[in-house]
Amino acid sequence: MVAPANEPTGAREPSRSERKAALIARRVEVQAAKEQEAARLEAERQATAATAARAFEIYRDVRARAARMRDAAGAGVERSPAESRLLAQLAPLWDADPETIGSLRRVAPLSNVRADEYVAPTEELTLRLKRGYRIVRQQVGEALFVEESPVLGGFGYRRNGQLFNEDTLMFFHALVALDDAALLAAFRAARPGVRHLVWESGGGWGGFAYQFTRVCPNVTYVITAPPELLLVSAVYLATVLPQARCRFFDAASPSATWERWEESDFVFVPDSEVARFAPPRLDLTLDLGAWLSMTAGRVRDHVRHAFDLGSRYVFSVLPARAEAADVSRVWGSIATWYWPHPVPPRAETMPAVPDDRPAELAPDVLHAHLAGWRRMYA
Amino acid sequence: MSAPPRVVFGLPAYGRPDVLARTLESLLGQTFTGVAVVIVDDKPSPEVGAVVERYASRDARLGYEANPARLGMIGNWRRAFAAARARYPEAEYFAWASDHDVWHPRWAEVLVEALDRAPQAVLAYPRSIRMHALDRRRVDGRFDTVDLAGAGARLRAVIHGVTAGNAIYGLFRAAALERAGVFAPVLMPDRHILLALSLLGGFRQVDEYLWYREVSPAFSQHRQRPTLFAGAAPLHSYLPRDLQHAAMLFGRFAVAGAGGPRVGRLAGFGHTARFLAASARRWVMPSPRTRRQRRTVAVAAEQA
Repeated sequence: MVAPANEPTGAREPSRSERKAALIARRVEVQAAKEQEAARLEAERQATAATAARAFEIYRDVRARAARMRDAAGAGVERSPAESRLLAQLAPLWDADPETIGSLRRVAPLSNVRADEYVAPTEELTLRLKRGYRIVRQQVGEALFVEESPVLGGFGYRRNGQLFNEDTLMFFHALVALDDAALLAAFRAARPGVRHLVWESGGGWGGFAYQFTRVCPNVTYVITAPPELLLVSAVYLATVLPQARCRFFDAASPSATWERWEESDFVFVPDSEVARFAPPRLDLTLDLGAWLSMTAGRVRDHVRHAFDLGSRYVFSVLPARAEAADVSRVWGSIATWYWPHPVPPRAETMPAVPDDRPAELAPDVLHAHLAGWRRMYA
Repeated sequence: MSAPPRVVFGLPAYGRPDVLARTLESLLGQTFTGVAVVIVDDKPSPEVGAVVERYASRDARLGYEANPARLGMIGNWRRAFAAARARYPEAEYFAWASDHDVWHPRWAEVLVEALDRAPQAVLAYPRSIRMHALDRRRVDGRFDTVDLAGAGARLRAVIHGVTAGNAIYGLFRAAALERAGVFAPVLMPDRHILLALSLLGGFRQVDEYLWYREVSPAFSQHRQRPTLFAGAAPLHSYLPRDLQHAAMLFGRFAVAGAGGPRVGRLAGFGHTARFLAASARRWVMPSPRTRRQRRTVAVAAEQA
């Protein structure tokens, strides 16, 4: 029962001096919080500066190696117009300053995801991110989710304390598709004495390599790409994973690259050397969209080489609504040496148990995934 | 000399030369090396012969025999099991393979490990993906009875929850399958053998999509008898399906004592009675799933 307002409640009004003391205490508290926040920001700034300085050291070392690769390669690789355009955009990175390297994730034009869109994300982008995150998280949990690292200008949308952007989600969906294709478990299981070797053709800015090796730490991850791309992915991976053991292909002594390969976490090989690239084992070949921009001949060369090296599986990602000619060029080449098995997409609008009719492609499916199983007699 | 296989696939073939190579590669390309495949062909043709020859000439793990006269599906499935056992009597595990579905390369590796780890399990099977003509879909149902206490609880679970069409293509302990009676001459023999097996041990479902099942819109339940039996169907196949299954369970467990010391004859009788009671209850008060199945059968019959 509530006492009427004119009746005494029994609680004593604080005196003036008590009120003043409380006010002072509150001010001290606020001031302390401000100082704490300033100290945190300063520590963060110093850490970022230290990381950027370290990244620039790494960059100088990688640049020297990449330049040697470029000089050794000459004009031996037949580039498609899309590849040539990309390499032209990356050309300024040969002479980058520390500031550029410190924000490599924002400046390297290796993805359609732009950092400035995340400063004040549009409603449409926010919805897309929320949905892409929710679909897979609800269906398969978070075990395969690896958030965007804030290092080197990493950016994104923050939800449940996790930073992610459309690249993060694309890689998350690719990991889930690898798991749905029953390819990931063998790489996640830590069996004593068994280390797997994975080859990603292209490698982008190193984002999928970062996610894959967080989920499957016991692998040696090889990236083949033009030297300009390796300049980005190698600097990114060596900076974001300071403990990672990186190795670079040496054209003067190709076989030395694979000596004690189990002791390397990442191996970087120029794509001009793909034909001479001969690791002692190969368990999985990955294409996160790089083959889409290659000429048909080079796609075939890559798939054929994966087959010749004994790769049991090939996994490829394409935009869900890719042109039929592109699908045929990439997945058609895979089907020559590997049995093609499209991975059913994860979507909100598709029922889990089917009826007899084929499903329409759900609107929230952005990428299509294909698992290829090695043919016995291709 | 190489070690004898631990896993033998018995493949009852019936006229699918168009996709047989894909299936054979998926079986022979297993990451688990101790695997052999025995094909028993109930509809031999030069086309099937050519596909088999292409693989058999390069791979000694593949065996083939053609039936001189059609045995029907039940007869051919039984023959596939018998032929596999005759060729590889020491093989611990057996699996039926169709001539059109696809087995993931890790299928045997993962399921052998699952059975090795769970000695109380008689069957291990994975999640599956359905291959439609234009797309594929995951089947996400979950059914695992290894941790259930007692044969009665396992039988109840199988009566109400198993999807026989998926589990029947799992990996069996060959000895348990033999004790349960392999494939009986009844309607829905896959469901019957799973009921019988549930009395002998648990079913382990592995959480990976390792089996790709071709979905054929041409399947028709009302044509079961001509498919299952060669020639005229036996009269008992016109009895209610569950009555056929109960009779088989009774004969196997209450009369022949196939359950051994753990499921004695009296217990076998009790389980058969409980199965019949559950069937009667389901008939009177069908679950939504059963109602859906009945509707499907009725529609199929009407369309035919």
